[in-house]
Amino acid sequence: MTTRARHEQRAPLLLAVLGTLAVIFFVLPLFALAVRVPWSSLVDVLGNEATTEALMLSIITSVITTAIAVIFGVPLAWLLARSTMPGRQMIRAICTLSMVLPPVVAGVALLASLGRRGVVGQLLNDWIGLRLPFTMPAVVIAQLFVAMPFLVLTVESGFARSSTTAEEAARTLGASPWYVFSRVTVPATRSAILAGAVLTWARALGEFGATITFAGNFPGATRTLPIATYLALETNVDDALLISMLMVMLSLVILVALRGRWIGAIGGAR
Amino acid sequence: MTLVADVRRRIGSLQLDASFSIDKGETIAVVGPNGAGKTSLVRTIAGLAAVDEGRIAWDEFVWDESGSGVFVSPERRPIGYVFQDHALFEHLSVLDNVAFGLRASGIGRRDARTRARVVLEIVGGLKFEQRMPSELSGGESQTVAIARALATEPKLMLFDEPFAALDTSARAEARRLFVAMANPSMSRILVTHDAVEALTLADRIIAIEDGSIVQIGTPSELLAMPRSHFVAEILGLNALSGQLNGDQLSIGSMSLTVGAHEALDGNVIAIIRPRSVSLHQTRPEGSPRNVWNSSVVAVDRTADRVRVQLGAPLNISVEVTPAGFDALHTEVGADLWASVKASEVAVHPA
Amino acid sequence: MHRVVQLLFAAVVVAACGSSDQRSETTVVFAASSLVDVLNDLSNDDESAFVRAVMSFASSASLSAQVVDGAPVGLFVSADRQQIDELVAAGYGLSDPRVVARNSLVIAVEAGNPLGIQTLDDLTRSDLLLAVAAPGVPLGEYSEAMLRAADIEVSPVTFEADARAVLAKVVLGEVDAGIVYATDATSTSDVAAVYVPEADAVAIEYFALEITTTPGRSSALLNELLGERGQQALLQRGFVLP
Repeated sequence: MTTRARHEQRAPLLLAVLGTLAVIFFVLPLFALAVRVPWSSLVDVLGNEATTEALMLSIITSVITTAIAVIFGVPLAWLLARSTMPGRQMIRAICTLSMVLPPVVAGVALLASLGRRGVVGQLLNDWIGLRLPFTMPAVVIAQLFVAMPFLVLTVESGFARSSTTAEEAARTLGASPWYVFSRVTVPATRSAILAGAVLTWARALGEFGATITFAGNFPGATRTLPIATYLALETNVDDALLISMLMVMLSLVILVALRGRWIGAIGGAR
Repeated sequence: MTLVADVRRRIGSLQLDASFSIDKGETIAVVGPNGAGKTSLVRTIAGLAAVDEGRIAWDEFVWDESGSGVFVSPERRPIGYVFQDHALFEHLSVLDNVAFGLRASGIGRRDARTRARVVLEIVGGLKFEQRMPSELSGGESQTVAIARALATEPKLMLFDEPFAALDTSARAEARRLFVAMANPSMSRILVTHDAVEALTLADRIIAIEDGSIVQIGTPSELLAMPRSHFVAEILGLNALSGQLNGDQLSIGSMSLTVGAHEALDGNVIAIIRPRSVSLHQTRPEGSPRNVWNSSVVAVDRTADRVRVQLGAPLNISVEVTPAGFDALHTEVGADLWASVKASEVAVHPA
Repeated sequence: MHRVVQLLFAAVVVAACGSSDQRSETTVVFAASSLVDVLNDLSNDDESAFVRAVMSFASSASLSAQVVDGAPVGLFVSADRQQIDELVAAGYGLSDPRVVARNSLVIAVEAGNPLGIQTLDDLTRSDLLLAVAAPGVPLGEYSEAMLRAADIEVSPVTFEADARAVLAKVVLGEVDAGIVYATDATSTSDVAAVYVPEADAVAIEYFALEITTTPGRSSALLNELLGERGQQALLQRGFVLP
């Protein structure tokens, strides 16, 4: 009995106390939310077409955002981790700035570039009549702008950590650089890519400020679940609480499921 | 000549400067102490790094030339590379590791796997073809690394310290495989810091120190005239060329009984460690079958050991303790008896 | 040296007394976002009672929720009758609610009105991008009521969270027009306000209510708003007097 206890790592008291307080800090708001939610009207809210529409829009846009983030973010992460291009530090800082920017400011920045009067948006509008704000693509762009850095940083550290010897071995076996990247580098950093994708998805799902600023609020096109929640807060607090709880549960289920299966591999025993 | 290399490259504080060539089917060992630039040299030949100055050519094909700026990337060179840590692809099974190079060259999965199985069978790895690299022992992992490199039928195989990470039994097996895979149409470069490996496995040896080649030659040439400290260290091992016939080894006029071995009759290299030879004032009685009369040519005494150089009929170094040496009451020019157990005479194919 | 310490000590004591004095006089004012300019004007006037007020601006709904949650509020000025009625019904009112100002709806357009928008009917033009406030927020409800009364059906591209957000979309040029409060349209020179007669159909009133929980000097503040100084400030910011 005692020998067994000795072999287990025991947390120092101070760490245990502080860590527990941190857990309480995170659990308390969720618990309070759960207590205050008028569960009895759950069926009504779920049956509400406006809510399900917002839920579907949120799921669709956040999944599209995640897919695009992977397509562009993984190459960017590779360049940041492996290439010797000049000004890498600067590029990394700029590409991840939107993480710390207030989301509303991010939205204004997007309007300034892609809006109807924006630097690029004006050209798009004049040349091909493309107007991004107030459309579903605008929702995806807003989410992408604030959420993609999570993928880039996670995957970059995955690339930086993974050994390059296997890649060299693949080169000597006749594999082209692209073949090496797709068949050796990516599988080797699979868990980091999945972790980054999950973080990006979670951030995209919760995105509010940049979305309402850049994409506005239109039912079925740009009214995502967070925007619906915010507006419900103005009129019907009970509905807002229910929708928030819906988001919390959706995120929780997916984060727990994915963390157990894939992300656990990161940093742990490989 | 097949490979002609003139490699000059700066790696940190090391200046690599090595010119040599390799014939078709030849096995060359690159020996030298750690940090001498051995791995950097083979990496440059593989194309994982480029020369700062110089030229690497394979037959009429230039692989790397500083003057013209020609550089053929590693995937276009007909090479195989066995890395020190084997560098297997952790996410692929043994079979798919071996099939990787074939798949990369555009061969379909089914065909690539079929050919990979053939290679695995040759090296004796078929029994674990379905395992993942993490489930392999060190020896098995190395077998897979060799099979993977062989599968693309390279004309030049590069081995970077292939035996260093293996335990004793796996090492013997790996050396057997290395000898068995010798092929007249495939040249090999073996990087090692183990003198015995170099002497017994290679046709020629390149001794390298501080980035520069100090000597190139056959094992017997190096043994006859060592030109560097490291080569002298090899000599310290008493490597002797001789002819094997059953358990009898002839070296000049001497005949020694050898222990269990895997070398075939004919030319071999025998390794006798200086400490395994005993010296006696009078002819010893008892078990050692190899006993001979010799004379002291030189004595090199340090605080904790005495190195005695013996003359004809067997020019070898013997190492004894100072107390043991004093008990012999001997000096340069004096006669004495030497003995060595048959099991201490190791023979390797020359 | 000794003198310096004495002086420092005296300074600290005076500062401490001063701050405690101030605290006892400080009254918290909750006000609808559209009142931010007026109340800031007042608090910059040394003779105003609002100099000593601590003010918080947000949508009437969320402020009302904070009152119920126990925020230490003295005076609540709401843009929404409903919120005030609910608070009174729940016993939070120290006195009857008073109307302190009125507002009206206008069409905010780009400065110079390049599209020549003159009437409410112009908002139905198909080439025109329109922003309105979301149904549920007071401005959204007023806008809807106005359009319904005029029997005009519009198709906005976005339903914004509040008047400032609608205005921002007009200022940034993302939409051509937005329905906002007259006070918002006059707050910036980046937009022009188009007054439409249909706006008279909706009565937009600001109600002030003294809150029972921590009234402080709320009566003085209310009296000022209803008095000469307050009414003058409201007029300057485009409000209509009750």
